[in-house]
Amino acid sequence: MTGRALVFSQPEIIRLLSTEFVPYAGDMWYLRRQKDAVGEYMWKVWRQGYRKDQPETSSRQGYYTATADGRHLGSIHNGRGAAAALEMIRGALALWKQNNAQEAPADAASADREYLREPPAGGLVLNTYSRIPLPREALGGDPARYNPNEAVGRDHMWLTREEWRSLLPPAWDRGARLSLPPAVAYRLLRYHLTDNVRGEPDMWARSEIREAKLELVVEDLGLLQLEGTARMATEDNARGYDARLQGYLTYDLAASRFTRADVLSWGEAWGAGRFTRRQPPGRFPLLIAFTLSGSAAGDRIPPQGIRQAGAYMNAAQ
Amino acid sequence: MRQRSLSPALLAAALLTLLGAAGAADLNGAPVPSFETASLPADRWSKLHAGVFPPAEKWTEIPWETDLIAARKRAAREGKPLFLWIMDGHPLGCT
Repeated sequence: MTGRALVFSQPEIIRLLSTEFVPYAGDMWYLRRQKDAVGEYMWKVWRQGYRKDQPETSSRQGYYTATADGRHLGSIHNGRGAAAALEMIRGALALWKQNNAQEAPADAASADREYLREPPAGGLVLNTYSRIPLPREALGGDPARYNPNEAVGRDHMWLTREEWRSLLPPAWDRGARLSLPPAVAYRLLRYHLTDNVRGEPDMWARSEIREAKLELVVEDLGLLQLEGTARMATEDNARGYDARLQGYLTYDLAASRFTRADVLSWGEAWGAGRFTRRQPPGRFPLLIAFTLSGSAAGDRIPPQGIRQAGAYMNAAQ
Repeated sequence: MRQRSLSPALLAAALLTLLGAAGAADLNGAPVPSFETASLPADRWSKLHAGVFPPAEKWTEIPWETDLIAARKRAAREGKPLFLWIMDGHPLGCT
């Protein structure tokens, strides 16, 4: 998160990466596990990188520069800041200009399917964004410095064809109410009503859902409104989110597809997950917005919660 | 008279108290509701929903590749090295 705000916002870094490099972004969790050409390439680079002497179980997060065939040119931890990152980039470019030999990769053999995550065929993808709408002075920490609570959290929610079709009412009777089907409701509650503003959140266990009522109301032919309340908290109440939900869905009956799926969650969160410390003090407002995804490359990034694919796709169990 | 300055923590606590009393902050020109607010009128809902979306962010101007094999092929084709942004959690998603 900090890299987005402090490193990749610098004009010279943007210019160099856009013109002198091929920039790639990837999730280490998958890359370090993949038994295929992608994983082999990354391990080749990592074994030459700034953490080459560390155990292979330790983190390799950071910024790396390398040739197409895996010759390391430079690397640095992602927490070192913009000046150090720029110095590494310039150093790598100098090395590249001394020796620009590289070989193109062969066509990849089959990818490691255990770690392949593709949006479900015929499914629905929603972009999700989260925000803590407080002024910097109320976020905790030094008001003179960037605060990670100022970030916008991002994720994606995947629904299969069967799941989005289960949202359709049996008849479009105005005022009719139907409960959100459990498969969709539990995925929403457990994996997407989370405070991911500061990074990777802990997801909710089923037992941590204290209260949930999510209903779709038929507003008109093809128009649905989502209404809901959800309360999640850990057993010791150290972390939680009391949320209201309101959303609008439009279904094009002629095209047999949703053309709108805008949902807003609001309420108060508290506490932090294992990787999301430095939360604001006390109970703080947390807003989460959902909308239909577009066709950008970033819109195909898998949901954070789908690392354990079976658990994500079967959230109600 | 002796002057006393507020520490950042005290300042934050005081501001949160004030925000709580006033019904919290605004977002995109709409008051941020608390959990006690069960539903929102359409115009307030629209402002808040739009307000959560990220503004135009500089880092998104960089043409990030998400397919490493394709990125390596492109690097070889264009005679450039790769820059690899690797995070635990996808840098373009949740990290």
